[in-house]
Amino acid sequence: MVKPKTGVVIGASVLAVIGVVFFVVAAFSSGGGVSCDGKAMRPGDVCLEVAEDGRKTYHTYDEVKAEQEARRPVLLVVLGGFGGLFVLAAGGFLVAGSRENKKDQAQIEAAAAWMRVG
Amino acid sequence: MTLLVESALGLAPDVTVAASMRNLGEHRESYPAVTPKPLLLASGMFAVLFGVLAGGATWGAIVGDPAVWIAAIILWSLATPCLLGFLWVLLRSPAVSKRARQFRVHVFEHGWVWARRSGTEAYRWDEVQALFANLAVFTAEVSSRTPYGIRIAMVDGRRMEIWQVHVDMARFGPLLTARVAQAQLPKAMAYFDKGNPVTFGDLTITDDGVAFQGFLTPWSDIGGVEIDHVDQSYLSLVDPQGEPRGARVNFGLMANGYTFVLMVEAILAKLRGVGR
Repeated sequence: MVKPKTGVVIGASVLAVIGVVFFVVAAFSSGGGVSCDGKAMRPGDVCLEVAEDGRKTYHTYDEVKAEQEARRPVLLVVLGGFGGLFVLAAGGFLVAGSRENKKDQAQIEAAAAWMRVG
Repeated sequence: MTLLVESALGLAPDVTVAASMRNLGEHRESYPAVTPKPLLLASGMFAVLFGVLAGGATWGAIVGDPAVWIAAIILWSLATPCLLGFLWVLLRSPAVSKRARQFRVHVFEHGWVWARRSGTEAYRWDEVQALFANLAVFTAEVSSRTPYGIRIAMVDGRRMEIWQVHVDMARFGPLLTARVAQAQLPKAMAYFDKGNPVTFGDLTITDDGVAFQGFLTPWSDIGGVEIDHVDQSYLSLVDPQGEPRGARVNFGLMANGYTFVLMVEAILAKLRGVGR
């Protein structure tokens, strides 16, 4: 495989880094325990939710756990999907750049034949 | 070896030495380095956009829902490369850097000297082995722009890439491509006159016509060559009535496209001269 140009490598690296950030965020979001207002919940705790109109709702540990576990796969798919797209784009960028460079190289060598005449 | 260095024209000594070493002849004109405004605008705009969103998300995560940290991290990861890119371009541009204000392309009789950050190098028109000219005209209601990029491979293996972020390519680009094509034409014709086909990208000039992907357009069907630079550059063969005929190739990916044009015109003129 012919090495792509520096600009292509830099562009692909930036895309890949952004993709990896999405993966890392997805990995951190997929694990962990049950939380309420950013704080860890334990069995027996109750989470108080206050709506904008002042209405209060109490959720048990099991309810919060069920809700958060239902949300995690969606978050994982969305963030992982975005990360995958960025990494795929980086790979595509590198392959296309390499192919273009290979074609360029073939043309440069073809021109050498008639450049030598002069 | 001793060299007489004359800087009477106001050229820096390293430029004069580089030009003398390659026998470039008399100095003609110089093009100063430019501040790459489109790059600055694009990177600055995205840095501000993602930066404001990231700042908002960070504030939201601190005072509100900690789950917003996810959005904040993603937005900062997008804003940071844009901001770094903006600063990198700005600090190296002539608008800010005193050193960058010294960078120039100096055109001489037989070539050019490019004084830039990586050093001062001289190039002869007749030592360019392959030239890829990538330009396109984008026209909008309020303005039009012509991004212009040229990649070059020299016979000694050196490579260079110059585009509108370096110098005023609307002026230097046409001059460079024309001089290189004029210098290459005699070599290509000499090779062709010895009975050899000459290949330019996907197009091959033969005794019988121009071949493209196994299909030959005979000389009798060719009236000339047209290059359409609108949005993306394409080169087409046209028949004697000016209608497109046979090949249509991406001009930006074709090595020595302007030499191809001159060569087709030269062969057509020769054939018309002998009444073929």
